[in-house]
Amino acid sequence: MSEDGPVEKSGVESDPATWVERHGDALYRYALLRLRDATLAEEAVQETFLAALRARDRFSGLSTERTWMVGILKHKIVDLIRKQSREKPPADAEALDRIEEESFQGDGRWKNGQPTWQVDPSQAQERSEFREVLGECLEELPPRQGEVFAMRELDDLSSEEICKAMGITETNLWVMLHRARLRLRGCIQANWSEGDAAGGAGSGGQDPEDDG
Amino acid sequence: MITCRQASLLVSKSLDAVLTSAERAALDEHARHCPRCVHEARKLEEIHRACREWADESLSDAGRAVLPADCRQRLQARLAAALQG
Repeated sequence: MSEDGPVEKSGVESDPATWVERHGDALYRYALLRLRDATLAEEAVQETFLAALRARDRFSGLSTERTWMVGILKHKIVDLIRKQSREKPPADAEALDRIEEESFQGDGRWKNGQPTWQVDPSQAQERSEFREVLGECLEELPPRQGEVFAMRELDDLSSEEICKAMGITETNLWVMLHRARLRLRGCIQANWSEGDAAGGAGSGGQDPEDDG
Repeated sequence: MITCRQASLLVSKSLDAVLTSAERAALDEHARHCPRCVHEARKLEEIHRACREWADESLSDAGRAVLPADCRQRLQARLAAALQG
């Protein structure tokens, strides 16, 4: 940067007064996807904008403004989830989870028929329907398992970040993610087949003993 | 040789972390003899891929606008107040 030129204090490209118009929909859509609650989603987006405003002098400009804000939003979402977890201590669902016993025989071999569903990556409509069923199946997961899975697969948080947020060990994390995937696999098998219109999840879910 | 249950756990872990060389060797050895586990691994990868697509899509501008008008107004008012403060 030239010493004669104007001093660039901030990497933020746009006027904060335009942030709601520029990023509001995308951030809110993501917050709603993760929190499934309009009030909490609004709170997360508001906190994101305010945090971005406070931190804008530190924005390096190496990523896009959207990416930077999404990073802030993901941590705001984790904060909200952590706060909720503290307020509503979960039942000891993971200890009671029997999805592995339902999936494998005593000798460790697979128990039931293999999944027959397929997703054609070239078919946008089919992928979209598949995601719809996946979303319904995600809601069927035991709460803590669902949160851990979403932090990993949707937020793309590191194992360290998830363990810290949820107060679990790494070994615990691998087991929870594995159980979540086994459960999703079964739910998708029960509720989606190639070429079909999306059916509702829940009618064919595998485990009626999920915690609540 | 590891069981399908152990192999499935390692497949799941491989989507989130780098397996140790011993874990990778055990999984590869199992997969050589177990087409069922290879098939199951593909299904977990499809779920993994769909989740990532889903997150990307929700963050793109291509999706429909969902921010309710009253929420939009509150956010703008809050941001404006913070800018002035």
